[in-house]
Amino acid sequence: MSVLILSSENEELENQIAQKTAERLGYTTLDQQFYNEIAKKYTLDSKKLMDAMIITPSFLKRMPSKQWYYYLSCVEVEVLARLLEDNCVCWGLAAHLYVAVISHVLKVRLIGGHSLMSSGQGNMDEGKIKKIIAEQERSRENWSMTAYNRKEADPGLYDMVINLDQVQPDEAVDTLSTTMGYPRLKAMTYSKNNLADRALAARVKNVLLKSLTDIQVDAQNGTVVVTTASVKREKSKKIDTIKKIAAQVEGIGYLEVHWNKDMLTEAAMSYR
Amino acid sequence: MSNLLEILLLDDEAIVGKRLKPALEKMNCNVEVFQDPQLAVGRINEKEFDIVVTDIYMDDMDGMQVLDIVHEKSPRTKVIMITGYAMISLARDAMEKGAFDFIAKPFKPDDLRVVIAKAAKALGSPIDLNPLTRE
Repeated sequence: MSVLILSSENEELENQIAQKTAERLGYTTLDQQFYNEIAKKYTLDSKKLMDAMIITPSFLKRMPSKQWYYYLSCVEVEVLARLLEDNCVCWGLAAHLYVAVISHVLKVRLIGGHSLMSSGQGNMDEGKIKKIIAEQERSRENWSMTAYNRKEADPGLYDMVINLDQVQPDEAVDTLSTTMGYPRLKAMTYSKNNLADRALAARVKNVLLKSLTDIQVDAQNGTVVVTTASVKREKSKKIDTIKKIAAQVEGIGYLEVHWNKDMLTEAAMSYR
Repeated sequence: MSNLLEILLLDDEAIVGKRLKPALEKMNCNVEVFQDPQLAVGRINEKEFDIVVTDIYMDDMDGMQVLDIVHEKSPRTKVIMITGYAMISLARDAMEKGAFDFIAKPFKPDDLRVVIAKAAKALGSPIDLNPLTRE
């Protein structure tokens, strides 16, 4: 079981490279078509689900914060579950942001290559292309920071960055296929457990986000730690609720809830 | 299976060998436990083991060196690395050097038994994970 995750601003080339690499390696693919399956499973509006992966929460755009985080969480749960199953090439699902460092997952950022696009930007003048790309990058950075507190374009997030202005798409496919064959990317008990922990944390967060907000979840070796905040007088109630809801999730070895005082609300309440 | 699977277990913490030896012996394995890497390497030079389970961070010699020595002596031997200081770079380096698997401590004896069974299968000598529970 090995996983290749691609991320790029250039959707057309990303699709092309991802498909060809998956074909070459005999891996399954996981891309934006998966949103429909997720929407169906969770009875969500698939258009809204796709919007949530692009826009940040906003009442003007009819995407309240609570709903937005829940939508993202549904995607995370389903993508992680799929990545646990098989050798897979995954792109277009923001997995590079929530699949943390896992040794059998190769995360690759594709940059440039806008002059190679067959339509749209391929015929525009360079200045206009640069403007559009800069705007897209700003918007994606805003989204990724709000959603996962990570800058999508940060090279430190990836194992490899391929510049498609310098490397042809077919060469990129060769490079990726060869790299995926390296023994260092083979799945091992440690990396599979890490991914399973990540998937468990995502499942717990997902059930909690149905009714609660301000939830962080981590898991290690089946031990789940939920971190939350509330005003002091709601402490016991919130902890009990979390324990009760999280208990529905299969695979939890031990559950711990860490509570922090919500200073802001507390201060606002005492002022009143 | 009539032949015992020969396993060398190396960890500088005595408790690891003490806990894992009986768990592996239940799987029809013959287990030799070492705490001193030098003594373990001496034994590896005398005898060909099917599986070597080694800790990574030890005082005199690290598990990566043990991995090299085992593969030089017996390329067919499966080496399983265990460590309390698991990191992605270390895990990838171990696999690059030819480790069969990499497990982070703490783990349950059953977790290691599953990996041993996988290694036995890869060696062409599949073993029963639960011989005591079967007729």
